[in-house]
Amino acid sequence: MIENIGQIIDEYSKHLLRIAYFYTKNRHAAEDIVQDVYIKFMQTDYSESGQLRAYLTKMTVNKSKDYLKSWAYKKIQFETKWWMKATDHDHVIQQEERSSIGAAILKLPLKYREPIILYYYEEMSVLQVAAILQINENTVKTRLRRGREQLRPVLEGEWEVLRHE
Amino acid sequence: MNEFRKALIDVAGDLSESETAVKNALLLKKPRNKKVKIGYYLVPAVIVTLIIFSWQIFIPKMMDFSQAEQPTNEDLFEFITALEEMEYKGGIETSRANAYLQMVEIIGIPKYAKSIGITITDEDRQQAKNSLEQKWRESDLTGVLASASVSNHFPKEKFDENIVPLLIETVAYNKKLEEKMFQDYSKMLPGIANSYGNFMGFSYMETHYKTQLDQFKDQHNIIISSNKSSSNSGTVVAVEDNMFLFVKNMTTNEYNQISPRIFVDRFAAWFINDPKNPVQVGDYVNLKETVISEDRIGNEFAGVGLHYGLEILLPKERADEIKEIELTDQVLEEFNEIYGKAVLINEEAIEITEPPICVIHKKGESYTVWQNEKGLLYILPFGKRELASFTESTSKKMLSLFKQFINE
Repeated sequence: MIENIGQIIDEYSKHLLRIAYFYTKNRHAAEDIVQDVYIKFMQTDYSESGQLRAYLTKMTVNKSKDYLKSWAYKKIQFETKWWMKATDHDHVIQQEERSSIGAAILKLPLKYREPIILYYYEEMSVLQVAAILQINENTVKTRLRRGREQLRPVLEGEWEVLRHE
Repeated sequence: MNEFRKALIDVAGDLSESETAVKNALLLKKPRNKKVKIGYYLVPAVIVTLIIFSWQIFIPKMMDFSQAEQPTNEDLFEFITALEEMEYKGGIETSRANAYLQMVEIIGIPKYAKSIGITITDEDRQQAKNSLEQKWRESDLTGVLASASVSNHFPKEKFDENIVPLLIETVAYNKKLEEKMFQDYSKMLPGIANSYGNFMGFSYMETHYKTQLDQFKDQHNIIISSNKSSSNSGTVVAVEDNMFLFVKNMTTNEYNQISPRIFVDRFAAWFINDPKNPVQVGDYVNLKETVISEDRIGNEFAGVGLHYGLEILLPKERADEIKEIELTDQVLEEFNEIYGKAVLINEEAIEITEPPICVIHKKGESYTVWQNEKGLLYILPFGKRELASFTESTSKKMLSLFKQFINE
């Protein structure tokens, strides 16, 4: 039984919302996902063993991927796409103002974006990323490399980091 | 902190509002307004889609409308794909899937309309053409859409010949479909009328051109994800004017006790009663992917909805399977103890796809009880919006408490 759900929500919501946002690029969808994650979590008989953050993160990743495959996502995309255009456009500008590099990461296809989120944002090891994505380590390394290559035009001149990659 | 991590945190921006929204939704202070009231995305999808073609202001006078007879349209598909790629860069697979869905809908609307006997005249076409031209003139998207990535693939002649006639047909038939909706259903709102036409157009194509559409999807490597939809279940509490009134998470007995403020206080709306699969008052049903628009119909405020699938979970004739049970004083303490361990969650946050198993009465209060496919219980006190959600172990305890009464 989870005794202190309010405390857990306070502690982990920001992190989980960011993870869901990196996948969906939509705040409302991220809220939906995190809400569903907590609900599912509350229905489990989870016993704390120091892995709560990793446990909730994995649930959020899985839920976000489910969402991206869902008809609801396609339908919302379909029905709002052009009508919401101005808002989306503003949103992209805001993103780019906040971080052009972050915005460039979010524009990557999920295949390359996902390892970057887990490896760099979540600071997992290649082995951990491979386990959560159920792909082998070499594939993770390849996708990370290709993701960085795709970001290179945006990053060039901005970060020293790539010069050492 | 590594630079990628910092960039990602920056791009996500301030999420404190979302944090508060989630917390409030879960801890009951203030429910999030989920996609229940969907006014904003019921804006006519097709019309909106058409506004994008703002770089073509003038439509030629002579057009070949035979394009509309084909179940697929390569040019339309490629055109929308190019727009998707230009605007969203979400990956070619997503662009193609989205373009495919839009193409099928645009082609399907006229075909569905014709199948139910709707016809259009040259005057209707002219009005649709005028309407499109006006929208394209008013649009402020010209700069974006004149970009080389789209216009290089689609010279004006190709657009005029192969796409514009389809759009005119779709707009003209869509207008007629909307008129018919208002004629057939006195309780109808504009957003729903339009979306219903779009939905029926798509469904018609899937039913009548499945082979061609499957072939098209194979040829273009289009993958449409399975329909993993959200749904709402509840009771049909009235049937009038070819429509039924649905109220979420409520039995007929409970509905009869509440005030008329149903559209304000509850998830409730009128839906079209399909003559091929009609429902009757007292049926407990599940509606898939429900969207609701709310506004005044005449003098009354009401909700009108559209669903993408209906399943009768418990027909009226079997409504007595929802047992009404009175807890005795001996078990009240145990009930209260287990109930006290439940987590309270706003009912909008939970998807229930089963009819209630029973309604509990204790000391003048009643509680509706559901059990999900995993055996977990949800209990909703009458008149409240907060569902008590139980874990596996507390669900078992609560169920064993009820069973002696259910079996009596």
